[in-house]
Amino acid sequence: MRRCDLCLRKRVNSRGYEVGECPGAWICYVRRPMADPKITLEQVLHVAKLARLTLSDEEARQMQEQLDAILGYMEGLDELDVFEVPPTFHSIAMDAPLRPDVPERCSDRAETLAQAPASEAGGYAVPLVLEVDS
Amino acid sequence: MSGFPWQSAFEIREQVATGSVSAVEVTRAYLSRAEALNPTLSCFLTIDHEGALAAASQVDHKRAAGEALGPLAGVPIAVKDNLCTRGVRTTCASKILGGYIPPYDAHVVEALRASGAVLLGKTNLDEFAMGSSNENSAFANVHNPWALDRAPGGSSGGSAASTAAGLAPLALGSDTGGSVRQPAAFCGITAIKPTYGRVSRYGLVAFASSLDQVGPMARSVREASQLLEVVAGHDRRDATSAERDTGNYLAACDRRVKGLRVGVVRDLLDGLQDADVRASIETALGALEQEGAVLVDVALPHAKHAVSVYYLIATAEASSNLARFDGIRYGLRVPGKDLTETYTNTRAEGFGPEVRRRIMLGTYALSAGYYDAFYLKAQRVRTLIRRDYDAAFERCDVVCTPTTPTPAFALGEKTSDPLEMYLADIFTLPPSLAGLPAISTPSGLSAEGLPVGLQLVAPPFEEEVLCSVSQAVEDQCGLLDQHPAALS
Repeated sequence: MRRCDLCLRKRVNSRGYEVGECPGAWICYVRRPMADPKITLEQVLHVAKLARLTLSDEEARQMQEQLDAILGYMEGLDELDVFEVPPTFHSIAMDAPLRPDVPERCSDRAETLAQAPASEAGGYAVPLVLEVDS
Repeated sequence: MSGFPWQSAFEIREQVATGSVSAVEVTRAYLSRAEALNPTLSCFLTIDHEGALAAASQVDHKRAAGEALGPLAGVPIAVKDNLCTRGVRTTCASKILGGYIPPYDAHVVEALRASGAVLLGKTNLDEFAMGSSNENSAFANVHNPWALDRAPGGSSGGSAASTAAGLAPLALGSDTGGSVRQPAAFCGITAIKPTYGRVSRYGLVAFASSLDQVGPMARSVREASQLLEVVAGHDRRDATSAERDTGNYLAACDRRVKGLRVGVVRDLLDGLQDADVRASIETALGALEQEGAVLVDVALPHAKHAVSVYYLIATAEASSNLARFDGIRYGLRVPGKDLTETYTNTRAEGFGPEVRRRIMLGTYALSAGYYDAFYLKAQRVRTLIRRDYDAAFERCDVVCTPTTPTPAFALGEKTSDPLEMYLADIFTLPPSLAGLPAISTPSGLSAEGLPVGLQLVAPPFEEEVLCSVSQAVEDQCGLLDQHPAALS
């Protein structure tokens, strides 16, 4: 049993969290020990690759520690049985309206391309994507 | 010009309309104040001296020609730097958009220009609106005008601080999980988070698309309500924009609260650790009761899960929205040996630590094998939070909580622990997840002289009742006659 890091008085269990009445933040929480991480370093590096981000060794280690604490806190959701509850993807009910199909002027090409890091012949210039054998 | 810099938007418009002062004179006065105080406060990332004077002079010409003036004619306004402004740099306080000059105006910026408002410049924020202290700006930390060592709140910290410091009577911010309300509470001003769909998001750089709303900020409830009237309304360029008439928010400020039922989340209020916040809210509730409002106890049993739900949904949406920043079409490019390396180099160099953390968390929550356990589960719990409000609104017209668990915390106090920073949003997140309109208005000062904010939440599209009730709070406990001592 440990003390909540936020209200300092509520005792919480060894899993690192307990859904309780935490005066101050509504939910008790202690920083989890890293012995049983919610996310491994390999997973962190895999996710970084998916997100097209690079992390130095030190950044990856710190990211793991921080994501672990956040995901540990989020385990608090496990107290709820929500299998039968429909998800709310949009908070306010709305239809997908259709607008009249009328041609309009689009943005000015030169003005738009002026914001590109590199442009060429009226288009975006990008690094070579396909190698062509000659 | 009488009352500068604390006169209201209504007084400025009146003075400009009657010709007792020109819009150019007003603008010059605010520009010099902004230029003088910005080195201390870092509210503005860009001060558009030339553009502001041109807009002001247009108002003066209109007046001279006897043309009708808009509701904000000649009124200076500060605009958060994640709202696109044609020809004026829009950075989102990120290195990745450092030099971006939008080729178009956001819907709300168009509406401001049409109303005669004068855009003074673009305000500082947490990078891509991700943060609760404005310390995630890639450029500078904003300081709270009430105490310079305190955070102004975030992410619309620059907008809140500029209004509180009398650099502009009005400001626009954006609110995804509390980003106009929390800084308003910390800086002692009023801010409205409209119902999702009430204000067009066209030209607002996307963070979490199912939550983002543009919100008005001002020192008084009346000014914030007037600004909401100007920016609200249907816009076909935002598919989530509601096709509903705009309310009479300003007129609603004069409606009495007699007989209105104010829901009090009793377990939350009794459990509040900060005695000043608790006392301030209790005093405001007492004042509302005096005015004839009826206090009823309500419960939001699932709201305590809002931090988990929000930081799964918002980061998931952000990870997808921010995929567009790849170094190809705008902003920064850091070349690599191939296209993939160009993407990763650009994003590693261009995004700050909090943005990277949220992209990581969101990508993880959406990735194969974790979608059901995290993202989908969060969306289901979101339904429970929405239902809590449905049940509460059977018993009351507005739900009242503090805006924040404490008054403004110190700069640097929460930067080492991201989760602790997230937990500071606990009261503003539940209405955001439910798409509901909410307002934060000052309910007094703490013993240390820091503003305390009171939050009211209403059913969808019932912004008018928020204006009525918060006007009553302002009349009884507001801070209109008090200004940050360090600056006056």
